[in-house]
Amino acid sequence: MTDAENEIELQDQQFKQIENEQKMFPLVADRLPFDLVILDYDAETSPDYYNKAKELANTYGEIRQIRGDGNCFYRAVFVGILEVCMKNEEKAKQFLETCLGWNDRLLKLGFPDWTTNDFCEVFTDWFKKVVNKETTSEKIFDDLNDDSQSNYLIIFMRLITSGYLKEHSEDYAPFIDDGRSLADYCSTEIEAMWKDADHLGISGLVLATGYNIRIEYMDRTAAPNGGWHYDIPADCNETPEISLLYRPGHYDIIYHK
Amino acid sequence: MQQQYNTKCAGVKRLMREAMELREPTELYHAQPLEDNLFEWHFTVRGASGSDYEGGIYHGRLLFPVEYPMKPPNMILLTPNGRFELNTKICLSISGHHPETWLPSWSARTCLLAIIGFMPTAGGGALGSLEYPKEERRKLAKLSGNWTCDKCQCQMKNVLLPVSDENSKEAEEAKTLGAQLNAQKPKETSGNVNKQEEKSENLVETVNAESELASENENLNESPPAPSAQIPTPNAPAQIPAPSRISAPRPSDSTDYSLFVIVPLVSIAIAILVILIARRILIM
Repeated sequence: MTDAENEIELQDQQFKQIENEQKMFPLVADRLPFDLVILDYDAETSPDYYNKAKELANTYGEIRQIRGDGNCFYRAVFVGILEVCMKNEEKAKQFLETCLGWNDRLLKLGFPDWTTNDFCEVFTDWFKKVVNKETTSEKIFDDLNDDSQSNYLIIFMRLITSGYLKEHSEDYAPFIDDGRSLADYCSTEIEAMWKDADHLGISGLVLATGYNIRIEYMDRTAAPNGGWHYDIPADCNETPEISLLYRPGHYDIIYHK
Repeated sequence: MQQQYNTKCAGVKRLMREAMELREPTELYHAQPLEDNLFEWHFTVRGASGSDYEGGIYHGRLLFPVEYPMKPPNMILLTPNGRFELNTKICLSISGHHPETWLPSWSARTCLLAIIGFMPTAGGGALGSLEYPKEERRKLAKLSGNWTCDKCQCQMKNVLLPVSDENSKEAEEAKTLGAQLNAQKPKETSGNVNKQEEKSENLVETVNAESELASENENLNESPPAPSAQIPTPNAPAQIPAPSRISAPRPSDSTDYSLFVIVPLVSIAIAILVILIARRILIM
């Protein structure tokens, strides 16, 4: 075996190992008491995080952890939307309309028709069952924890995020700083699986789905406005229904008391 | 075959639909799953016209991971072609070697077009690529029609539809894909970079010497490596295996060199400035 082959072999093994470690966590965990977050930090060695977690525990009662596989932002928002829709039929129908509409919007933007139709169909067929109450909450979370099913739905989330950014390319292109075109950026950062969402991805998904979100930051320096939490879009009037907790590099869903 | 697989699995459903979609051979490609394994396909592609592979028909295997389409398939060529080693997984940014550049919205068809478009581009020492001289590649292209796959029992010259003018759109798509893949060639392990750069530069020289359109390539060389600049106009005769792309600066490699140039230049410039200022002060 040549050096290059060896190196690739080694890299593959490392990727596999990371993947296996990730897979020890469920894709979408159950709702658990928020106190768990406090337990993650030591009052003496990391007092900032510890105090912040205690403070958040006054507002938030529960957390649902999401697997850190690069899709956590998309998955967290998607699960948040699903939970809203499972409680509110009107909103579920509305979201189904939005998703059905995205099929044509994506094709109009030049997404490859065959696979795009496939992802849209799989998503809307699955979501229709939620809207029409043809499935149980247990079954829904089983699907969300099945790698192949769940990731198929996540691709749809990524596609509409990319679609929204492309529809508003004039607004977003200036934010891409390394000389890449928006289309390039979308295919390498948004449409490619396992890539973390940055601020463009966050904004794109929120506006593509029509669901506002609040992000609580454990680390103040990570928040774009230096504040503790950040609503997206910034000008939304009501408190968003979906809240996420951001710890460096990772998002989980959190629930108000 | 349907009973064997968990049809609830989204990847299985997707592969079945793709197999349906591709069941009729076209002029450029044909691919179908093996009878006993939905995750292994055999494919046949036609060499790009205007390249050393014109007239060649090549057979190979597509190996899909269970995570497909979240992760890319691997591609292996079986027919001798002079561009890729046989029975070796091809290193293509669209193939299993580079899961990070794969997009779930690509499909088996994309892979087939990518192979057609990628063959005429220079191997640049990538894993599994061969540097046979063009005469040898042309000879192999001629011989490929009589090559028969043990497993499928099909002879290459009988697999695809005869060539007509109707394939031009797909041929163009293949070319564009090949160009894109070459442009975004992933970073190889650092130790290989120097060797590869040398190799591909040699190739550029030979290719340019051979091509009548060398001057046109010069123009392309100067343009930035944006894929759009490399896409030939639809009506242009497809005579050149697009050698211009080889020397287009690759973002990842060029930075390695530029530091060696920029740092000494800047330090010399600063030194001269300091001397000038010092002189002025001293004279005053």
